[in-house]
Amino acid sequence: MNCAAVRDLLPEHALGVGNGEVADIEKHLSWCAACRKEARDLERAAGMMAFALAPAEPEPELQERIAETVGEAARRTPRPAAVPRRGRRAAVIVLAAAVALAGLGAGAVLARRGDHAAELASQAQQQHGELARFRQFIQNAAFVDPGTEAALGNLTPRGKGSARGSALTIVSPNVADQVIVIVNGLKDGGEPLTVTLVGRRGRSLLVARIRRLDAGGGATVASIVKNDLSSYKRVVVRDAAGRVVLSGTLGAEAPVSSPTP
Amino acid sequence: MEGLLAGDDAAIRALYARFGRAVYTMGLRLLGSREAAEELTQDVFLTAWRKAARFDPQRGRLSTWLMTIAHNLAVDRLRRETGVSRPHLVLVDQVPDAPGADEEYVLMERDEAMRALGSLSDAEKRLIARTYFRGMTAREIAEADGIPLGTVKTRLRSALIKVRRANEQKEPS
Repeated sequence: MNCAAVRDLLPEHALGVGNGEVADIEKHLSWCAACRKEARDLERAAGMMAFALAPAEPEPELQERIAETVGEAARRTPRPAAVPRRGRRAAVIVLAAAVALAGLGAGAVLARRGDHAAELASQAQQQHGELARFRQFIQNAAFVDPGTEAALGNLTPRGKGSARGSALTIVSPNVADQVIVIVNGLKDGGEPLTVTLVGRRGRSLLVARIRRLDAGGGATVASIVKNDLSSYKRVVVRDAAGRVVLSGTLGAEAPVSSPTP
Repeated sequence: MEGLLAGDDAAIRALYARFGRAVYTMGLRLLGSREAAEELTQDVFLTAWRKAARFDPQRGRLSTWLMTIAHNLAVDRLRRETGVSRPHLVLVDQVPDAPGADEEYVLMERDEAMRALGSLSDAEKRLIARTYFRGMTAREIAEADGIPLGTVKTRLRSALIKVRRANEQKEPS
């Protein structure tokens, strides 16, 4: 995205009604100081409007209810004091997962010789199970910050097809958020594939590229991202032509079903 | 913020005492009912607790951060619940003596908002209100009014620049 395209989007971006180009805009702003200044100026102006409404008086009991609700949430999930994000620790978590999960692609190669669809389904189930176990590990491990949330989802093709996948996002209060995606049974020739997370109001965030599929049409990718992934609930995998080959919703874990042959 | 992170009762109450009314106001004025406004206020403070570690004072004020959360949640709800009639917007310059208009904690923010509104024509106020308070995109406004998309975008930018300039000399360096 060039400066002209970004500037065209900045007023709506500042007013909080953008159309899903947030990741592209933020990427541009990360290196273009002139556009960044324009963006911050417009955001500051838009932010002033938050206090432009005629004040209204809440019921006095609301304060009590909110103190109780937040206090209760904090007791259930205690959070540590704020510390700077530490990319190195995040990398260790993702690396551990990637290493543990990378071996899960071997079955797909063998599957080409037998009942391809059934093998892929079984493999998808196994991968999903591994990610589910990893999620549980993340949520219970002593070295992971309390309050870390992990969301898991199945990836399926839009129509018929035997490709399957799983995705896991790890949202941390203190270190960089992470995403792990495993795919299998994808057709050769569509590389490089892109993995995008879709959030509020269609905001999309490119989190990984799959440059090469293995012999079973599979790959495992893991990324550390600086964005807050807590509001991103959809995962979309596209081929080089931009076609959606797999997609799914995080946190809505349907059992892995058998693919259509 | 550390108190909020830890779920400390006094910290939550202090944050509410400072910004609770402003958040509730946004809920009531945008969504239209006390019930929706209370729900929104609760969601905003829960979200603030969850994201407290991400607040960066070097990037902006606490008030801006909290009201951005409130605005995002309110606009999400507006856009999700299409077909629901919304209340007529009442801006602070229309009722300067409303309860809380002299609230000490947000006096600076309220002054900025008054200067911002004073810098805009009625048409510009309406345009900003439709986007910021109603969640309409430039395209939706262009289609509704039958004017080119580029014109709406230009007017939005120009209105925001006016708001910015109106407050430029008043901001601490």
